[in-house]
Amino acid sequence: MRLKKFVVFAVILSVLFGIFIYSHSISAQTPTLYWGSSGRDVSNVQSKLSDWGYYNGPIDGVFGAGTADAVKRFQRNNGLGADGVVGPATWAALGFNVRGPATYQPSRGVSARDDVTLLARVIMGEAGDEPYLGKVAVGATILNRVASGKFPTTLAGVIYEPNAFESITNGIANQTPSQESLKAALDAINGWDPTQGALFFWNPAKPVSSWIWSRPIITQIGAHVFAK
Amino acid sequence: MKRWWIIPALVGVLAIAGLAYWGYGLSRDKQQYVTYLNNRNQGAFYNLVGHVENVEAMISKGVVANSPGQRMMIFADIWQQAYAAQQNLSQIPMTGPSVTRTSRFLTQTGDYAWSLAKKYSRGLTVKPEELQKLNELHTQAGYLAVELQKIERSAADGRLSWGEIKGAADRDLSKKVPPVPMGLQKIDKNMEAFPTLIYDGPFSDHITRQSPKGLTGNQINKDRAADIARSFVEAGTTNKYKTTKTENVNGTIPAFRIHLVPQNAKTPVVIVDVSKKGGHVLSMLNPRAVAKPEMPAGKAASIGSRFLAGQKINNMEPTYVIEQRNTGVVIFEYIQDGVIIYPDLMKVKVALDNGEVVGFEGTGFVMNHQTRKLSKPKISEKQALTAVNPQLKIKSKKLAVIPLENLQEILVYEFKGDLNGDNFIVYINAKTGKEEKILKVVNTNGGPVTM
Repeated sequence: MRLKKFVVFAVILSVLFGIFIYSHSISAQTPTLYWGSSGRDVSNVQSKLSDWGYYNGPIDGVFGAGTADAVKRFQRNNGLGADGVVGPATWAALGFNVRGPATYQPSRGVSARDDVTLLARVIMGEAGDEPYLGKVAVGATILNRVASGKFPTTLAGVIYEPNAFESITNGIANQTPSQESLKAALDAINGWDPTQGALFFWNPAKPVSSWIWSRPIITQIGAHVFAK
Repeated sequence: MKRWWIIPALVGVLAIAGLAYWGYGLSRDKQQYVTYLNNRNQGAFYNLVGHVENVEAMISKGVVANSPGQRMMIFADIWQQAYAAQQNLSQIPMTGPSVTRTSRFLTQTGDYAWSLAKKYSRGLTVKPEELQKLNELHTQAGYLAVELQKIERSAADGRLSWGEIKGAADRDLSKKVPPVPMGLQKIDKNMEAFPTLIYDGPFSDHITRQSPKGLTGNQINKDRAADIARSFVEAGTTNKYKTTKTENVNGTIPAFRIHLVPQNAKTPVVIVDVSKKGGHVLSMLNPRAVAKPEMPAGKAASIGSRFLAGQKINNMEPTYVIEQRNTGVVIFEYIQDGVIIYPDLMKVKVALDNGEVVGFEGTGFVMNHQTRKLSKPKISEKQALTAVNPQLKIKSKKLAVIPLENLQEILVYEFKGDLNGDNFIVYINAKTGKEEKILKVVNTNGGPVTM
């Protein structure tokens, strides 16, 4: 479930765009509308015609005289037979993307996104000697950053942000992660967060800058302090 | 004979020459790397300035534009430019409060503009207050652009070198703040006045500030918390446990952290977080190694159900089992009047070697759970189905409550379907009949995931 947070911005964009495009298309069947039809499809036609200045009646989802006139005027202006019936050609001219592609190629294979290993490597680099809970906590903190908006919005973006993590800067995180780190990464991705939303962690025994101590501290696990 | 030292001297000279040559090579390589890094940083910085200037210009266009279509396109542009700016900012080797604040500003500005664009796409109009907020963002963006231009100028005439900043590369986030250019520190001061942005998007301020809805009950002391933790752990195993340590967690839900070990052993240390108010178990983790599975992953669902029932946690239905590393992570959803309430979820992790419960996650449940007033759907399942792409082969349908990105909850019909072997979940608003959300089920090596 937590993996959802990982979904790169581009994917969110495409999903939103999907919603955006879909909200512009109507139910994918192409019902033929004529005098006496009613329902949401009629409202869609009415609002489109009203946007374009062909129709000034109420958008009530009832195909009456006013709608029929508007449809005829629209058809005349667009080189369609002015019969006042909304068939496939008129639907298309109205800009409704009615039909999906005839052939859809399913996605192949398994997604190679390997968030788990990437996260596990940083966990191992940053908290290799910490108790298990400390490892999960470091993983959760990194995931919290992705969701916060204060840091890059992808996992790789957060991890490879210059100077963000010592083990990345000095290359220690490039080793193969231990089994325990992999397990901790999975728990963090599955939603276990022993830090309740921390964005920072540091080792108080090492020299740290004063601003970091101004963050509200949530808890200490092993050698690390976790803070918002 | 007399010149016995000539050979050692020659060797010495050769060695020095070799060393010098080697050292020269190293320093040349290093110089090349420094230049390369400098160039990358410069590039990212110039891009950052450019994108921030674009954001500023686009916002003012958005304020001036007067038709929904034009505004929608401009808002989408702001989103894209702000995102690009944020990306470039994160590549420059600087950390610290000024950078996180600038980053948050860019993310929120883009996210906010995008939420406005979405409103138009749903046929809604943007309110004057929302344009006023946009206007405030414009002022901030203008300020940011000017400060960045100043830094750009000082970088151009050599007063600021990205190489110096690169020298800070051995610090982690916990250590000293790298030398942030003065200009950026000033930005920090000004950004503190940044308005609170509450809107319909994932980075809205109300999301980070949400408080737990399901935290009912009275304050408990730490002995009571230890008892709750122990009986919770013992309910999922045959071992007996004792408390070894109690700590405090001062997060969104203040809690006691109880450390437990089996009666006659030192490991594994099982950790249970129990809320100070009400004594709700927030999470439990038993880090023991799990051996080869002795049972199918499906068995985890029934073990988990029995465990939750034993804890008097009722109306939870297992919806999904993720099989990982010899464990089964079961996702339970709350059911109210037959409607599946997706925000109220719990996870139970079962070891598939002996059926022991080795993990529990209930923070999400405590954050979201409340008795909801469910309104009756305004449209029928059949009507809702007409809004779904007919190419999708529908495999299951049910009523559900789902959270939108802004945590607002809506009643929907959930249709799970298949398009030539790809699995999709489509949510149709049960009130308006609108297609609210489409999820695609993607198989990853960590198990199937929805995107």
